[in-house]
Amino acid sequence: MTATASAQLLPVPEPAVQLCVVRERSALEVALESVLQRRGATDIKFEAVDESDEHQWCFGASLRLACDDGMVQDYALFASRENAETFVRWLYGFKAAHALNDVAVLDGIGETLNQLVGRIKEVWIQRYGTEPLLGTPKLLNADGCALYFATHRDATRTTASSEPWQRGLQVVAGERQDPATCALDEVLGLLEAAGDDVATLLRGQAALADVREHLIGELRVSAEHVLSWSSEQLGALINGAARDRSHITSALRTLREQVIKACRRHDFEIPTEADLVGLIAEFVEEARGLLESSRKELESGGPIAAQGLFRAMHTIKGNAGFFGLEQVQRLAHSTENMLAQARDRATPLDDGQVRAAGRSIALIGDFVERTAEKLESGGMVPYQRALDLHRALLDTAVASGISPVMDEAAAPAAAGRRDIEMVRVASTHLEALERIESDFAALMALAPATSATPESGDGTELESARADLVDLHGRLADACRSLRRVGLDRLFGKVRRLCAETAEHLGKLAQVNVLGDELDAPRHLTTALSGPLVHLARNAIDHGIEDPEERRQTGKPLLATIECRASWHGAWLLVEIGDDGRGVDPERVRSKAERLGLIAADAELSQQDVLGLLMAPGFSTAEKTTDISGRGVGLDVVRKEIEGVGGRVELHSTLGAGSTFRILLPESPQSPPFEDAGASASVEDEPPLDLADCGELTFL
Amino acid sequence: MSHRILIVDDSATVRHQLRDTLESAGYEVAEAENGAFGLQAAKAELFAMIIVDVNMPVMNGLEMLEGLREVPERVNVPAFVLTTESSKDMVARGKKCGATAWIVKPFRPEILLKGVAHILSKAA
Repeated sequence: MTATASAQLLPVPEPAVQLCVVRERSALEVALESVLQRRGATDIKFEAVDESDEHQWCFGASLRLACDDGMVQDYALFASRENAETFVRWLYGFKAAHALNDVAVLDGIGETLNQLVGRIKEVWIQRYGTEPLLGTPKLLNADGCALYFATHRDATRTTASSEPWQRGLQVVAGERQDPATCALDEVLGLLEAAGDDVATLLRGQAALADVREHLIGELRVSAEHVLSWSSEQLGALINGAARDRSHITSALRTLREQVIKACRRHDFEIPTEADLVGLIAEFVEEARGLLESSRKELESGGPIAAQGLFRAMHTIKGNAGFFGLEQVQRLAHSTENMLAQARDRATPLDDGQVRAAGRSIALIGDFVERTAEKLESGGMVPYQRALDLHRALLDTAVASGISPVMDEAAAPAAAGRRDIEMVRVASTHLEALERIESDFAALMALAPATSATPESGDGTELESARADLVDLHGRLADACRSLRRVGLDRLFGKVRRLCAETAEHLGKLAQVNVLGDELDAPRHLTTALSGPLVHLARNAIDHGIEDPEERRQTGKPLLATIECRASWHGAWLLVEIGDDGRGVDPERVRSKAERLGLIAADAELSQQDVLGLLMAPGFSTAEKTTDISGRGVGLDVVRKEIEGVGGRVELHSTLGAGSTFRILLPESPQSPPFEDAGASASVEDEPPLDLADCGELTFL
Repeated sequence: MSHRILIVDDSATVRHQLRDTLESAGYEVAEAENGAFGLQAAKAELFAMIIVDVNMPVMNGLEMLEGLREVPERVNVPAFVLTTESSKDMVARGKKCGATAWIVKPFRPEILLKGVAHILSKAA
């Protein structure tokens, strides 16, 4: 508190006056009681909260009411609506604006308090012969000024003597700036005091986060880059990577001036709850309109200009910020960033951008519709997880300069390979080359292992020439093998695209994680794998994962995950494709298999055997529409194709948590059996890719 | 006095989720956005526990834990590793670096809170 501010406002009351207030407060209580009783309240108890609180002057009084329903309420009484509003805005932020309510009863109390204030003035003048310095005139201006109060339902958390109230009162009294400016002051103070002290700098960083919290609406959005830049710079200071802090302080001072200006312009009018509901309804309507026109634009089929979509996102972002809907705000912000790139280049959106924008619109649309539903019940359930996940995707994509769509997320990894010019070669040429290689190998085998003898005299030379030949043959054999191999990236890319398309088509939300697409495999394996993998991926989306509503109800992340990964284990390629969907119910599989006569009713089968029945010939073809939860169409075909190249396929599934298909393929027909390949242990040790484990905690 | 928990993650989203989750259960939260900041913060203040990501710029989470365990007064601060990594090798490395528990992202708030409560009650 600065000296000038306190002189202007709040002289420390002398003890005599304090007593006077206490005496008069009981008179106030009597008056309040009668007002409240008239409104039907009974058994009203008053409790003085903090009589020594010097700040009570600037807002009249604080008191605690114990109501007959057992609820304890703290009231702060203000001499004007303006004071009350400023205070409430400080204390609760925008969202609790509806705490100011029930104007009629407040007017009654206000009248009483204004009388009280008049009485205090009289006493003061009688005693000291001068007007009391009770605060700025507006604070205690009794003329025509109704009194309002703010209620705080959680009595244990805040009393008039607790620190937030004190600080709030200082804001009301004009001693303090608005909260954002206060937080900025705190950051600046900490920066100045910190020196090299990391703990203080870290406190500064926390205070910087507070600034962001306190800024609302457009103000927050426009300050965002200054705040994140400052946070980064402060990070460098803490890290010891930088020492000069003058550029941070000057940026924050500029921001502080802007905030003060903006706050002065800001109309402190706070809407009532009814107003707020009206505003939200307006937001919903406006957002629906914007989203609808954006959707139409995206579906128009022609080249799409970013401008219109950009404006829609910008408006939604601003509105969402106004309501503190941070997730929506950020999602719209990321999308806007992406669109801005296309707009600035004046190019139409590419496919990836169109899909990403479509997905953002769908997510925001979902949120808006949910908000609309909740408007009546009063609660808000944001799609926080889905939005967070989606935004994280967008952020990553924007940061890496690629269009933020899921099926292209792997582009940078594969980019190097795509730069290479590809040529088509007739397979007969490859075969000719391979024959040369095998003849070479045969020749090498014929050559005596140690042709050099001590007598020959030139043994060393021969030895070295032979070593060179062995090396050369090794390189030739490798080159031949690699000619027969293809990267898995193309196949996995196809799986990604297919999942994205299928999900979009079915209105499901899914991301595809791919591991091991940098590996390659013999062409005959990728060819054999292609059909089954695509089939399993489509099945995972169609039957495996639930629609967003069902996932929400079961508490799963709305964004489902499909994992596709490959690894080599000796001469065997392991490819797994899994989902975190609803899984397969072994009981239902079993009973259906019994019905179809595939197994005897009393057959003893392990769970693995039962799941294997899904891929038995005759199981899935018998019934084209899948009623087995999750899986069922054409799985026997998948198994036939995999077994055709000497491989095998297994299904692992946990009901409610997801399914994973494991496909094992031998590199060549000559590959030793998987169990003997010396690789089986390492694979079997590793639990099958089990998405049900996601989010679990393991104590070490 | 409520427990103060340090969260170290380079993703603001994850920090935000963690903060919400922990604060909703009445814990106080401090944040750092990489292992280096995290290490400095954890050395400067005795936190009730630490929740740390693995893959972060400047210094990763396991390096941070390694550094922290060199400080005798910080040897027993419980540390949860919260990461997308789930390979056995990584978990074993985590254990070697002094991690108390391993949680695979995306985390489920109720499970995280159970784990935190369990560890803090044990510490008390």
